[in-house]
Amino acid sequence: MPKLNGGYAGQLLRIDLTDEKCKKEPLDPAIARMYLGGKGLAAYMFFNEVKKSVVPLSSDNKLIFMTGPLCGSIGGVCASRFAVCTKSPLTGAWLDSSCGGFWGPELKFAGYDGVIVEGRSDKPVYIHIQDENVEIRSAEDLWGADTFQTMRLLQERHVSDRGVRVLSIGPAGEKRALLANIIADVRAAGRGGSGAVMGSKNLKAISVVGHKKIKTAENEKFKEAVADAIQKVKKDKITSNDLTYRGTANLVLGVNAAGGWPTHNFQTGVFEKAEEISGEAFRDHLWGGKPGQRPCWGCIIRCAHVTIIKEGKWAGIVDEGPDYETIWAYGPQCGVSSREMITVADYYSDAYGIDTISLGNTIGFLMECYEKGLISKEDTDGVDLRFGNAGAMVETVMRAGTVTGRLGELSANGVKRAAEKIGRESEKFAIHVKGLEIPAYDPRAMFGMGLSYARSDRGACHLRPWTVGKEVLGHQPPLDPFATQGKAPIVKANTDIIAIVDSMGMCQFMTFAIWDEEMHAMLNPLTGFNWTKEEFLKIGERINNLTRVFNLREGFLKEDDNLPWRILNEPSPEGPCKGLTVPLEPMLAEYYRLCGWDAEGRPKKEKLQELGLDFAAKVLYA
Amino acid sequence: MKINIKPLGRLREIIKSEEIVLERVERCSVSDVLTQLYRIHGNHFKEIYDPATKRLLGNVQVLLNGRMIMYLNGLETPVDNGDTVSLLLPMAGG
Repeated sequence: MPKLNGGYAGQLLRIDLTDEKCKKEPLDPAIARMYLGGKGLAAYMFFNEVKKSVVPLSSDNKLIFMTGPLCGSIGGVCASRFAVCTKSPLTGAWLDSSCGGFWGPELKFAGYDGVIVEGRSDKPVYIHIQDENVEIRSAEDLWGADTFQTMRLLQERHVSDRGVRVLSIGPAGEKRALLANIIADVRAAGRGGSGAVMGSKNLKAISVVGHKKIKTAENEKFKEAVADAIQKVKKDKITSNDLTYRGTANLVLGVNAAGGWPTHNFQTGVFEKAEEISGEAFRDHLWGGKPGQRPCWGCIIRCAHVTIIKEGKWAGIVDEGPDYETIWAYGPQCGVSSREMITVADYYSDAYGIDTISLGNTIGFLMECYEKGLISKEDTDGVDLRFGNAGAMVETVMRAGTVTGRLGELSANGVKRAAEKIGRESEKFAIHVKGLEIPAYDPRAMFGMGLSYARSDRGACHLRPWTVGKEVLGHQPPLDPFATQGKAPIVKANTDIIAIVDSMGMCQFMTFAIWDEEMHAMLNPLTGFNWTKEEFLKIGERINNLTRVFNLREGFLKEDDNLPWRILNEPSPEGPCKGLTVPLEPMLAEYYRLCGWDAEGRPKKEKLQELGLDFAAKVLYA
Repeated sequence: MKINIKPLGRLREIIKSEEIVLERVERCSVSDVLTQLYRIHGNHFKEIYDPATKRLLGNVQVLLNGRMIMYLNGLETPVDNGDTVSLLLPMAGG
C-alpha cells in the first residue's frame, strides 16, 4: 500500500455551503499515486462524485481547487500551480483551468492539497483558511467589489505575519457571466467560466494563510533533481531570456510571419501592425528593458511584466501583463494596435474577473457582425463596434465585465451564444470548439493546432498541447505546418505530458527547458512513490481518458471534435498558408487510433481497463 | 531588386537591426542573400551563417515569405524582388 511520504499535505478540505459545514478528509495515497494531483485528482473525484448531466450553475455542481505534490515544495522550478476544476457552464464539458501566483502554495502551507466546494450559500460568503482554522464568513460587504478591491480588503481584514493570499470573483462571476473567471493574485484561472460557477454558489472569495512546511521523501535526491532542472532553465534561452525580457509576447512576430496571428476574427492570419504590439515593443516602450517584475511563487523564468499607463485618460493604471493571448484578443482580433488600450482592457478584465481570450474572440466576432450589418447600434448600446476602434473595444470589455446593457449581455456569454442569438449564418464565423473560443493561433497556418483544438477535453485550448513551437517557431524536431503526417503522434504524446504538468503543480513554461525525464526525476524522490518511467507516463494517459469518458457521458460525440466552418472552408487569404484550410479528418482518425479509441472517438474497453479505469468503462460499456 | 531581411526575436539583438533592405541586380538564392549579409554585417552574422561551408549555425531558421526554407529548396531556394527573408531562433511563450 502506498503512503504519503512527501510533496502532499495529506488532507483535503470539503466545504458544503448549503449546510455551512467544513470537513477535513485524508488524501488517499493509492489515488494520489494513480492521479498525481491537480487536474488528475480533481477529475477522479469529480467523475465519481458528480452525477451525469449536472446543471453547471446549480448547487449540485462542484468546484474543486486542487494543487499538486510539487506545488509549494521548493523554489526555482515554477511550482506555483493549482487547478480549478468543474463542469463548465460555457461548454457543458469537463473544465480544468491552471492558475499560478501564490494561492496554491499557500494552501499547501495551510495543510491542504485541495478544497472541494459543494452546494450553495443563501447569501454571499467567503471562506477563510488559516492553518487548521476554516471559517465561512459573510461577504455581503464584498459583493460588488472588483477582484483587486476584494484582495486588498481581505488582506487588511486578516493581517498575518505571512500575508494572506486571496482568490476571488469580480462582478462578472457574481452575475454568472459564462466567460467569468477566477482571479488569484492577479493570475487567472481563465477559461471556461469557473467564475460563474463560483458566483452561482454565492462564494465571493477564498483567502488562505499557512505556516507548515512540505515534507520530501528523499530530500537529497529531490534537491539534486531540482538543481538539474534549474540549471536547464537557466541555460535555455527561451526560459532565461525571451520570456524574461520580452514576456509571453516574445513570439508575436514569429507567429505573425507564419501567417498564424488571427486578425479581424480569423479573416486573415497576418496583422500589419504586429510590430507595434510585439514583445519587443512592450519591452522598449513600456517595460524599460527590465526582466519580469512579478514572478509567481518559486519562479525564475519571470515572464510576468508590469505595465504602467503614465499619461492620458487612463494614467495611473498598473497592469500585470498584458500577455500574449490578451494582446492578441484585444489586439489583432479586434483590429487594435494600441499598447495602452490593450493594457487598459487587460486591467479591467482582471478587475472584473472575465476571460480575456474568450472575450476578445467574442468582441472580434461582434465587430464582424456589426460591420456586416447583422447587429446595429441598438444592439451595441450605441457603441460603434468596428474593427480598429480601440475605444469601442475597451467599452465592450467594461460592459461585458459588469454585464451591463444589451452589449454586456451579448458579449459576456461567449461567441457560441452570441451567434445563436444573432443567427443569419453568423455561426459560420463564430470561432470556437465545443463552445470554448479559439485562442491566438490560426490553425490554417499550423495544422497540428487544428487537431489540438478539435479534440482537447475542455474545448479549443492552445495548451493541450501547444504544437506551435515545432510547427512554425523553430523547435526541434520540426514539423511541417502544412502536413497532416506526424501531427497525431505528437498531439497524443504531448497531451499526456501536459496532463501530468497540470496535475503536479508546475507551470507549463518549464517544459521549454525540461520534459518527462526531469519531471519523473523530481517527483519520485519528492513523493517516494517510486513510479517506473512507464507508470509515470501512464498517469497522463489515464487522466486524458477519464476526461474523455466524462465528456462522452455528458453527451459529446465525435462531431464535436471539430473546427469552425471558417477554418474548414475559408482558405487563408495571405501569408505562407494562403489558400489553405485545415484537413482535420485524417489527423483525427489517426489520433483516435493512437489513443486506443474507436472510430467514434470512444476509448475502447481494453484501453480503459489497461489504465485502471474500470469504473469509467462501466459507463461506456454497461 | 529589393529583398527585405527581418531578424526576429533574439536575433534582433545579435544583428542589431529590425530590418535590412538588400539591393541585388539579379535573382539569387537564400544562400546568396546570407552571404551578402555576412559580407556587409560580418561581425553580427558570424553566429548565424558560415559562407565558407554554406551552413546555418546554431538553431537559426530561415523563412521565405513566412515559409521555412527546409520545406522549400533549403539554402538554394530562389529569392525574388519584394520577398521577405525572416531569421529566427527557437522562440516560445503564449
